[in-house]
Amino acid sequence: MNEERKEVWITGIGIISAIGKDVYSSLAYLKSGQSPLRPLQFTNSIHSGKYIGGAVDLSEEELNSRLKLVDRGYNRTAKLAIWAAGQALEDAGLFPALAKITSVNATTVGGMALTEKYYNEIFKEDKIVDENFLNQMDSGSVSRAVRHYFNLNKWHYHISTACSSGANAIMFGARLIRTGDTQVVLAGGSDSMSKFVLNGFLSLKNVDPLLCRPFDRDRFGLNLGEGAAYLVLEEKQHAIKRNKKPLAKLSGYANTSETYHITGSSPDGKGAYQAMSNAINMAALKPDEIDFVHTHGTSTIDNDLAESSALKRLFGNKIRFGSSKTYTGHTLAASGAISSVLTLGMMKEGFIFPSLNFNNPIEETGLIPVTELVENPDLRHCMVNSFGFGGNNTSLIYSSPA
Amino acid sequence: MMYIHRYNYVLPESCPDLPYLKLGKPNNMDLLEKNEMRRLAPIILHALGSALFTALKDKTEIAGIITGTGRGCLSKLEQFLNDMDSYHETALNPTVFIQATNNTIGGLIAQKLDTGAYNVTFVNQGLTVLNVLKDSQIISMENPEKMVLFGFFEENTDFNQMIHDQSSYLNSPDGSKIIYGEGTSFFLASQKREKALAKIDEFQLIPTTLNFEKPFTFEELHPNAEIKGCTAFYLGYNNLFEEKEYYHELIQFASQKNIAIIPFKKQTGDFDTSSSLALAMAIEKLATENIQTIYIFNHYKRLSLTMIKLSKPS
Repeated sequence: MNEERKEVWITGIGIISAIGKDVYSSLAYLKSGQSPLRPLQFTNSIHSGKYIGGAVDLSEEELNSRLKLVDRGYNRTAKLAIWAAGQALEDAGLFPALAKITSVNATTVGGMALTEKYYNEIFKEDKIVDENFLNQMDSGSVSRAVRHYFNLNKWHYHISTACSSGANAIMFGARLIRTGDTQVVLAGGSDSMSKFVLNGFLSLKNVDPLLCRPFDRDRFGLNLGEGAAYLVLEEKQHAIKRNKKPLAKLSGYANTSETYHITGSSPDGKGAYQAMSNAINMAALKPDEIDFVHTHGTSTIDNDLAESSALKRLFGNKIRFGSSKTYTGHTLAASGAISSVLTLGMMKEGFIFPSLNFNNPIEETGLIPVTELVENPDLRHCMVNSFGFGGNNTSLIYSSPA
Repeated sequence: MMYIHRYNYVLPESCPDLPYLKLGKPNNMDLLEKNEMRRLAPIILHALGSALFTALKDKTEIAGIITGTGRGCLSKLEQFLNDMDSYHETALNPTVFIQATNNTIGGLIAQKLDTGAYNVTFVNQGLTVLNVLKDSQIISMENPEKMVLFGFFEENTDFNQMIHDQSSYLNSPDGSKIIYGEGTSFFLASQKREKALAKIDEFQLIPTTLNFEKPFTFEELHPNAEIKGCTAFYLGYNNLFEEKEYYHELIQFASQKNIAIIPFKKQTGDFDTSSSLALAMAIEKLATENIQTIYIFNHYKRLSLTMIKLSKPS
C-alpha cells in the first residue's frame, strides 16, 4: 500500500430533511432558531399524531415527479437518497455522473415502510404483490437504486451500523480514496419514517413526545426524523486537475466499539472519547484546535450523558458544541451525513447554529451547548460525532482548505 | 490479498417440512452465556458462536470486525412486525427490535472479545461479500501486524421464501425453482503468510456486459489467466437451467483442463451471501487437499457476477 496517503477533499454536498430540500434552505432554517418538528402522521397506527418528528414534506408522488422516476423500483429511503446525491454530484460539477464514481451508501431501515405495508398482505393473506415492491424491501436496494439512477460504478457499497451508518459511509469512502482504490466517492446516508422504527424506539422508552432537549438536565428522549445527505469525496490531485475548489478536507476520522452495552452508552462515554480522540490524532491536531463539535446529541438520557462526559474529558469546559436534532429530528443512518453537510455549510457561510430547547446543563458535566446564533466564527476544524447501537462510535473532522 | 489463518462455518441442512435449507442447532454454545442462548435468535447464536470460535483460539490483537449480511436477522424483524400487529403497538419487547438491527452481531462480537476496534457491517444484497472483503483487505493492509475478523450471516424465513416465490428475479426464467438456504461463516485474516491456511489472491465484480444471455467463458470471467497446477471451480448454479444457461462453458472448460467442479449451492442453498460459505469450503479444501488454486464464480439474480480467487500459501 502507498504509504504516502492521499488527501481527501469534499467537493460537493447535498441534503434533504425537515429543514429544507437543499443546502441553501437548510442553512437558512438552521440560522432561524426555529424547530420545524411537527406531530408525525402514520396510517393505521395508534401513535399517529402523538409524537413530533421531522418528516420531509414531499409525498411519494411528488418525489416521483421531481426525480422523474418512471418505474416504481425505488422506495422512499432510496428516493430521498437520490434527491440528496443528485445535489452533491451537481455541486461537485460531476453531473451527469461518471461511471468511475464509487457510491458508498447507508441506511438502517431501507425499505421498511414497504415491508410493514405489505407484510400482512403477503404473509397472512397470501396476496400477490407487485414485483417492483418485492425487490426494494431490504437495505441494499437503496444502494442499488442510487447506483442505477446515476449510472455510477457497478461496484457500490452499503453500510448499516444503525445510527452511525452515514458517518461510517463517509469514513469508508475516504479510506477507499486514501488507499488509492478510487479517486471520487459519493458517500452518504438516508432513512425514511416507518412505524417499525417509531415502535422500536418506543419499546426502548426513549422517545420524547414533545420537542427533544439535547444536553439538557431534564431531557427525556429523541424525536425521529427522515432525510438524506451526501458528500462527494475527491482525491486532492483529481480535484486540482479539474480546477475544483474544496469545501473542506476530511482531515481525521475514527470508528470504535464501546463494548459496554448493545444499545446503551457507558456513562463515562469511553467509546465516544476514543473515537473523538483517535480522529484528532489522525488529523494531527490538539483538542483545543477543534473549533466546534456537531454532536450526535440525540437527547436520550444515555447518549447525551456519555457524549457530554467524553467532551468534557477531552476538551474541558471551553469547547463549543451543539446538536441539530431539534431541527431535523434523529434521522438515523442519515444523521452523520446530515450533520456533516450542515457543518460544511456552516464552515463555508461562517456561522454556528443555536441549539434549541436547552435550559439546564447536565449535572455531571455542567457543559452548555451554543444556544445563540454565532456569526463569523473562525471555523478551521470542526468535528462531527455519530453514534449507534452496537456501541458503534464514529467521529469525523473537517478542516478548512489550507 | 489476505492470508486466512482460521475459519469456521455452518452449512444449512435439508428439512422435510421446509422448501429451503435451514441451519440446525447452533454450535460452540459453550462460548456463550446461558441468558444469551435463551434470548438471542438462532442466526445470532450461530454467527456469534462461529465468530468466537474463529477469534478466540489465539489471543491476537484484532484491528477490525467486519460483518456482512444481505437481509439481516429476519426472524426478529418479522417477530417485531407480528408483535406490533398482535399487541396493537403496545408492550413491545426492545430485545426483539435490537436483534433486528443489522450490526447487532458485530456489536456483540466486540463485546464478547472486549475489543474497541473498528466495527462495521455491510448489507448490500449480492455485493455484500465483496464489500466485506474489500474493507477487510484495507484494514488488514492498514494494520499489517494485526488480525482482521470478518464474517457473514444469513437467515431465511417463510416470509422471505414467499417473497422469493413471488419474484421473477428469484426464479429461473424457465420456471425452475431455486432452492434457498442460509448460513454463517467467519474468518481470521492478516498480511502474514506464516501458518496461513489459504491466501485470498483477488476478488472481482465481473463487468456484466455478459448480461446472462449466454454461458460465461473462463476468458470472459478472468481474462489472460492461466490455469496452473491442481485447480477447482466452485460454481454458483442452483438448478439445471442455471447450469446449462450460465455455467455450461465453464463446466466444459473445466472438463478439458481436468479442473474439479464443485456446485456449492447444492450444499449451501442460494442466498445473498452464499459465496461466503463457498469461500469457507474452498479454504478447507486448500488446507486439506492437494489443490493449488480455487476460483469461486457466483451470480446474483441475473444482476451481478463475482469472482474470488484463492490459492495455497506458497
